[in-house]
Amino acid sequence: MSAARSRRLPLPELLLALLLVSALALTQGAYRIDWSVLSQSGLQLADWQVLLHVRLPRLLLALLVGAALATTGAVMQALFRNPLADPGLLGIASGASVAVGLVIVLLPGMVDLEQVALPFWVLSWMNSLAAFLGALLSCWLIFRLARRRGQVAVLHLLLAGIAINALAGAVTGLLTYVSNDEQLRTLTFWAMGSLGGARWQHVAVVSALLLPTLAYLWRQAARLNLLLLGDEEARYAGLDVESIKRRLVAATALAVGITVAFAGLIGFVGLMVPHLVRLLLGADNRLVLPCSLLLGAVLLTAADTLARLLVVPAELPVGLVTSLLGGPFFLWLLFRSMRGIE
Amino acid sequence: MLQAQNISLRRGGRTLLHQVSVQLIPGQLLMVLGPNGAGKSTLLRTLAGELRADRGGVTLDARPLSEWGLQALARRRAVMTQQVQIPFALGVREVVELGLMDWSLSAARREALVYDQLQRVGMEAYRDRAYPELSGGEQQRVQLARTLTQLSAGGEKGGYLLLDEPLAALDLKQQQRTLRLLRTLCAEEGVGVLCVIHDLNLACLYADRLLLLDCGEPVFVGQPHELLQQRVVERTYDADLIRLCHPEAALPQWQFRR
Amino acid sequence: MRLSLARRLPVLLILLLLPALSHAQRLVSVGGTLTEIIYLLGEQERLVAVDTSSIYPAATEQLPRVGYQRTLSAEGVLSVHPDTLLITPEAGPLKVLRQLQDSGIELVTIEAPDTREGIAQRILDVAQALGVAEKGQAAVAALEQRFAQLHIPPAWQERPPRILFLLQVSGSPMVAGRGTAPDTLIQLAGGVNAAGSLEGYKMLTPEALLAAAPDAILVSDQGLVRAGGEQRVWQLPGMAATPAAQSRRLLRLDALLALGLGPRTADAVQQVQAQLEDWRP
Repeated sequence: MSAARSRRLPLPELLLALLLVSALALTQGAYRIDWSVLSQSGLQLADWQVLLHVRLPRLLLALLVGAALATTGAVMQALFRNPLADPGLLGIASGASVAVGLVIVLLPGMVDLEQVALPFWVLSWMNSLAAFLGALLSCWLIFRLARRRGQVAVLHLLLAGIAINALAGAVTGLLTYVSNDEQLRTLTFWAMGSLGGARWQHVAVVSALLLPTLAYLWRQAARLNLLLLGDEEARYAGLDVESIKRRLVAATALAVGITVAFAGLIGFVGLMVPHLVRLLLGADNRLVLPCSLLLGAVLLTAADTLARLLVVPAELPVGLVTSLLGGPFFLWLLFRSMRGIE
Repeated sequence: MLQAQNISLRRGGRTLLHQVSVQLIPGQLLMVLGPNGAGKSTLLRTLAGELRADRGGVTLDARPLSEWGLQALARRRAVMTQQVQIPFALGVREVVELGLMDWSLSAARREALVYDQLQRVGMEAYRDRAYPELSGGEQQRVQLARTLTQLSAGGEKGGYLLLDEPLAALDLKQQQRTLRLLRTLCAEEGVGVLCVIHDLNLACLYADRLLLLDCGEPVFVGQPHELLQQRVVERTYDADLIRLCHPEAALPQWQFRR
Repeated sequence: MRLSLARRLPVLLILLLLPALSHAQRLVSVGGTLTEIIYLLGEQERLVAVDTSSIYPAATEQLPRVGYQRTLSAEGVLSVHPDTLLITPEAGPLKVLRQLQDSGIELVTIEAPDTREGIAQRILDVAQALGVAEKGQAAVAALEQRFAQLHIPPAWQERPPRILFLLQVSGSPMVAGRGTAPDTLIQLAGGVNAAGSLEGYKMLTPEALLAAAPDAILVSDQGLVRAGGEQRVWQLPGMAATPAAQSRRLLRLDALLALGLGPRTADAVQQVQAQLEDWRP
């Protein structure tokens, strides 16, 4: 590792990978499309339907969510000055879980959903809304807990995150206890993360909220580098550390909240991708952030395609696939470091 | 001028500084000395703006520190703390570039500035290396380069440099090199340098003025040669010392009595 | 057997849609009981795929499986080119169902309570949906005859057996309380649900298990295999002092029979009663 690292953002390689993986995602699936007729009479209507309304929105959602997960992972790692930090540390995802759990388990008991004439779309968006609000709420709570005399020490953030995670875990546990079998399974499957059922309205909402947020985070790359020096040194160098931390946490919470709302809990991407990027390109966040963004999109799309193909015609939860990838990845890291390779 | 007037600081029930006044004048090298726990670092951090004095205040260019914005402050004074741990494999070049954070410069200009400052500390060959791989002394020199970059980025002359134990991990050659560099900064570029240092002899040899602290209080402010007459050092350090005179510079040097 | 108006409503709604639905030629069935009913009505020719819970009859093994009913895959369902999807309220996720609807597939929800009347209603609803109402009536009539043949052993009039259904054999076992399919099954058989004070599927503590004082334990075959055999049931904390453990009375049923009410429920009831033949209060 003492050799000079590439300082160039490997844009052509990443875009190529992105195109390849997108092509795969569009052409592969449980539904068989006869491509040979493309040149002659054009595809059947049903085939277009699957392509345009099932596969394409799902591909876009996978790209967006993958990019968001990886980028927020990289940002968290700079914020906590620790390569093993993860948005989960802040308890954002567990807050979302609690909210979804409450909606699934307690709401039917409190409100007879058939009496309240809710339109169908509200019901189907209720879980997402709950997850989003839960994420934001837990993030706000953690920030409040971690403030000391106007300063947010990273240690306090961590402790507050641990507390929230524990609390959320307990509440979710209680909910699974009082839930019936059906609710329990719904909650469990939500927790495994899935991109199934992605439709254009989902893509619209997610991209409208995620794209500006990710763009904002990308622009903070140089400031993230400064944060790596430490709070005091970053202040001496002219960075308003408190302000940038607040904004980073808020942006991360927003991004994570949206991904959790639409795709459930998907782990490991926020850890694996920035790690991999740093191994190849070094820790300069001006490279790490955009690279993680693109590589995250590629990775999650690949994982989702695998999820759709491994047990055709059924599908695995994508969170399961990322965990299956994540485990060996970290084992490999462990072996590398044990063998003394840096 | 960077000036502290009668500042006092208490933290956790202990008095860290008591009625300390110090002036850092452009073009002057001021060194702060004292036994462990004397308050040297605390003074530096208060002058830098990180700590707020309970009594008294710090002014920079005749304006109180509290009125300075963080970025304006960063352009006027640069600080180097003792040990900067970077838990990531940032390159040496990237670390030095951090001094340029809030200037919008072209890539070529950045590269040139970074190279210049690395050259001054003799680390230009390490440009492409990873910072965590370097030895303690090498890292310290890189931090110095970063600090210098921050100060020189605006292209203005002058400014202030606050250094906390910049020689701690350096070998003899690098210590001398750094001290000469500091002198050059003062004499030729009009920078006001404040250096916290524990090596008494080096302080006497290179400083324009000395501030000796003991238990948060100033026990001596003045030029090094004045210490030839006074017994304040022996009293402050409570060590068995013999005072000599440097053969070339006519400045006090201290040696242990066996 | 009288159906209240409220219960007739879904049937009426489906009747309204009848013209469209009787063309359901490529059918996907999501729900083990629904699949069973389709075979009962003799309409299995129209079936192109089923979900993972459709394990009866054995012929279903030949059909492709579109996955678990709560986590359907849109593409998976679409890949068999269905025109109709027969589902229960448990099917999901909602997003995917919506997507399938948008793709032009007819979604028919068959919903009925987990009671004896509900079984007949389910059969009728499915028959209506497939446009074979007369077959449905015939099936229901046959079902009613089967139920009429059931009788509760006279010895049980004095004190019916207390039966406890175990869904899960682990540290704190999960039992079937009121309002579950096993609960109805036990009652139809003439027994008393030992966990009748609980609602739905709940975990039981050892003390509560003792207090429930079951005379017999009912498990599914698959559940027993998962648990690791009969011994594990008797080794549960609090079990040893129960009448069931002392007489080693373990009743077994196929999982589909035990967990859902359908055409074979009368058979299930008979099996339970047969296994308790020599039981005396």
